[in-house]
Amino acid sequence: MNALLLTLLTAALAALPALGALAVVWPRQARRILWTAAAVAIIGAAAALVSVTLAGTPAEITLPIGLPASPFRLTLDPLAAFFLALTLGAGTATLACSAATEPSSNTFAIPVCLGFLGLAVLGAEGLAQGAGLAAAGIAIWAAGPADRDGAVTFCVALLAGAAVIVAAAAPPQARLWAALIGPGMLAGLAPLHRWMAPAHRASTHAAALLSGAAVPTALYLMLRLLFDAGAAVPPAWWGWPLSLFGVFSALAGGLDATRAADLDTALAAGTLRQTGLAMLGLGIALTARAADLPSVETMALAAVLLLIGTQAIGGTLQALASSAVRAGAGTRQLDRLGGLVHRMPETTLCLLAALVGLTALPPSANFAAVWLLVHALIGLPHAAILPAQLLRCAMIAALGLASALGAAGLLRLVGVACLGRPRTPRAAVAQEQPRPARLALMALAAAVTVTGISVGPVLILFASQPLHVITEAAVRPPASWVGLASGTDSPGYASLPIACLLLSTVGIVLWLRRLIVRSSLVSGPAWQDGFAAPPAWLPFGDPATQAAGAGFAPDFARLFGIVSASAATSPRPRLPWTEAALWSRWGAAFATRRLVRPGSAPAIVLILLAVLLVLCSWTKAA
Amino acid sequence: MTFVVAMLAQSIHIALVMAAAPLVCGLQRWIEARLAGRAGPVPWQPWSDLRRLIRKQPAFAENATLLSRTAPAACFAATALAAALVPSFARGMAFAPLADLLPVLGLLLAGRVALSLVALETGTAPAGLAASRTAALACLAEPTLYLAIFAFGVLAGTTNLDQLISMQLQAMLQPLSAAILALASLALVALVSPDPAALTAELSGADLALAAFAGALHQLVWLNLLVGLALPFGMAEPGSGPVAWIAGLLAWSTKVLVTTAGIAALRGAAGAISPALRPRALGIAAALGMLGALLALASAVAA
Repeated sequence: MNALLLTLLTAALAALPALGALAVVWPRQARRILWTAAAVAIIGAAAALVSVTLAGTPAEITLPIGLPASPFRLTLDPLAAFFLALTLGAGTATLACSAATEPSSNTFAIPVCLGFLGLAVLGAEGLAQGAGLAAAGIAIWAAGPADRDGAVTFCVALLAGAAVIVAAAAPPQARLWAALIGPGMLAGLAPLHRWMAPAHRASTHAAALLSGAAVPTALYLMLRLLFDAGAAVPPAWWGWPLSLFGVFSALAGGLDATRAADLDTALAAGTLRQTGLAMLGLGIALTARAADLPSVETMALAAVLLLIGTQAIGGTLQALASSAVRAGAGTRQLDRLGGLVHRMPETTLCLLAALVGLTALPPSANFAAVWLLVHALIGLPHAAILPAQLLRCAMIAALGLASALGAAGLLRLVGVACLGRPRTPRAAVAQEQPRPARLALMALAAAVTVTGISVGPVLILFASQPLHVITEAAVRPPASWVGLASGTDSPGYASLPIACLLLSTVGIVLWLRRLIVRSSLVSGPAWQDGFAAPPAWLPFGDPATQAAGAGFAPDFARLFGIVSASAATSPRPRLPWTEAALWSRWGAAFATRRLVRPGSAPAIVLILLAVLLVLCSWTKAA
Repeated sequence: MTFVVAMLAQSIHIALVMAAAPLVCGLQRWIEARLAGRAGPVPWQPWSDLRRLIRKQPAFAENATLLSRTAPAACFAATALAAALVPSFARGMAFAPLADLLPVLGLLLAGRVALSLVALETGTAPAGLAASRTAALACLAEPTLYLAIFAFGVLAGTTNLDQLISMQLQAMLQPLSAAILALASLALVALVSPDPAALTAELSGADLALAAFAGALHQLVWLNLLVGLALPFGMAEPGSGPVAWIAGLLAWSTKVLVTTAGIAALRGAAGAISPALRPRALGIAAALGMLGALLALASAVAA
């Protein structure tokens, strides 16, 4: 059965780049070709979903391409099938959206990128994985405008691919750093995440693939590198850098999402937060594996799978909704949006569903993942030294802060972009996108909501076999049919009953409200603390009386007491960390301006490869 | 049979918190007024206000959508569900397996988020500012809540509220100092949590009543949570009958009365916490929570 599915999937993955090439030579039929590609992708996703539930020996196939000595080999096991289903599912929605809206000249990149991501997921060894990852990144780069940001995307993709290839040949001790530098950078790990926002702003549907398919694939490769069967039990300290980078990423993403000036940057920051939480889960799982605690490891890994799955569905959804906003309202600047709920109600609903799914509010999927992470942290063995205990407490506090920042980011994005009054005439006449594209978005919104509500059945059905592959033990996912269970005799988090009770209470209250409020709707000017209604020449009210797009978020530096209230208003004091921030910003600006030019990408990649090789050999010698 | 009894206890609990939430709110205001030397409104004044609001016809801003009509109901439902999950007079109620600390506090936050969306809907300055402030304070409060939950999780091995209360009754949450610190941090967060009245500036009629009722329930959820975890004595055992329930009800009303009087006296003596002081108070709460979590971890290592 697995062999049959693998043949089908290989055919689908080969067909996708071919269809992309066909779209280039036959642009007039681009729309039809994209619909065909969407159909191929959804068949592939369905085949992969079937394969996720199948136990049994992994199937293998050797391709007639690759290096002469080592042709590419593809393997289909449940873990690969899980990520392939996510990638192809996200790709189907992206393809459907770009086919339904006006296909542009560079939509050919989407099926090509999807095919190569599939190669990276199914590849049996580092060469195929790295080549697929790099080629997919190059396809995304080719779809964007040819500027410096695009060049950075190109470099990141090449570097990630190269790191995966090197890591496969490197000794196990070097794998952590290869995983952090290569796939970690592609997934947007915190100190190396600055390239993500410009790449998301590249105004194509390919950005949806970046956050919905490329980031999950990068995290998959990281999972393979760190938990691979060939490696011995990873050293216990590996968990610490992963967790710390993860926490740092989650906080940086959450903060950026509350400050970003445009929709796409804020959504890229949301992706960063989600990646950070997944990295924290990976770190916890590694620590638990080193301590031989399979139940805690399973819990953390289930959280990671849930976070990545939510990111694939919700990340694609929010990127597609954002591109619908850009097409419908003509801008992505939050300062120029507002009131979209009147003109684009379905897109608003989808954006809200995506953001709720990615925020830790019950009964969302992200909340279930955070619940698992908290319980995995509780279940970890407790280190006896104070610094380790302090770090663990800091992780918990950071988890809470990241959750709250997620809620603040949700309020800001939906409140500023979709609610309120239009801030420009263009936003006031925004147009909803065509019906098929809206249907694709609705399907994704339903998927992310249902995942959150029925998280237990989803984990049991789709995560049992992948978890079995990673842990190589007969483990059960930390789930029951009604929700999550932490393995001990505690009842856990029952998402299904809580969601049912919540929905039925809302229904009852709305029904009672209808019984009481019998009269027709009365409306008038907003109360606004008694201010007079705006005059006729201000049809959308006085712009100065509405929160600005960038002004919603509080000044966290002042709020957390890092800067005292008086210092924040006086000329900026030169504190040590201000100096450090200025210097690092200057360095980053120098690097992007002077070093990263479209032509210099191969040179940078070569240099970085050399550094990696030196690092590997040094580790081997040590 | 056990389930029927548990369901009965659950229904009584839901009716109790629904009836008591506005009363506790009114009682606190009345005691505060008496302590300040004013006559004050009668304790059942919030109920009268709710009845008056429900009779009024709701009016909406011109640009309000369906959201303004549904989100107050969503806010109420989330808060009411949290109130139904936190036990008051009896343990082992029908919803006890659902009563995990993380979902309960998450539901409270979800209610506030729904109300903030309504505030942002009309695009007016005061409501938008209130929504921003709510989000900012949530960012300061949430780390403390997670730290306290973590401390309880390490101490008890579970975050289920019913099990936590049973362990507290059997004095199994050891060391007590960690539990007390975690509880103190939770109490400080509860005391500092802002009044949602500013968020509801654009609501009227039945929707405003729903939002106000949700605010009162929010307060009672915190009260039940803290009273249950700190003073769990007198609660009816799981599976017990009406006699134990009546005893539990008496114990619960005494505890709530005394605590409400205490809070009112505190507010009368120290005044309401000014908005500028809230971040500082939440910082203290976070420090207490961190200390509690550290103590819990240290004791777990020693054991």
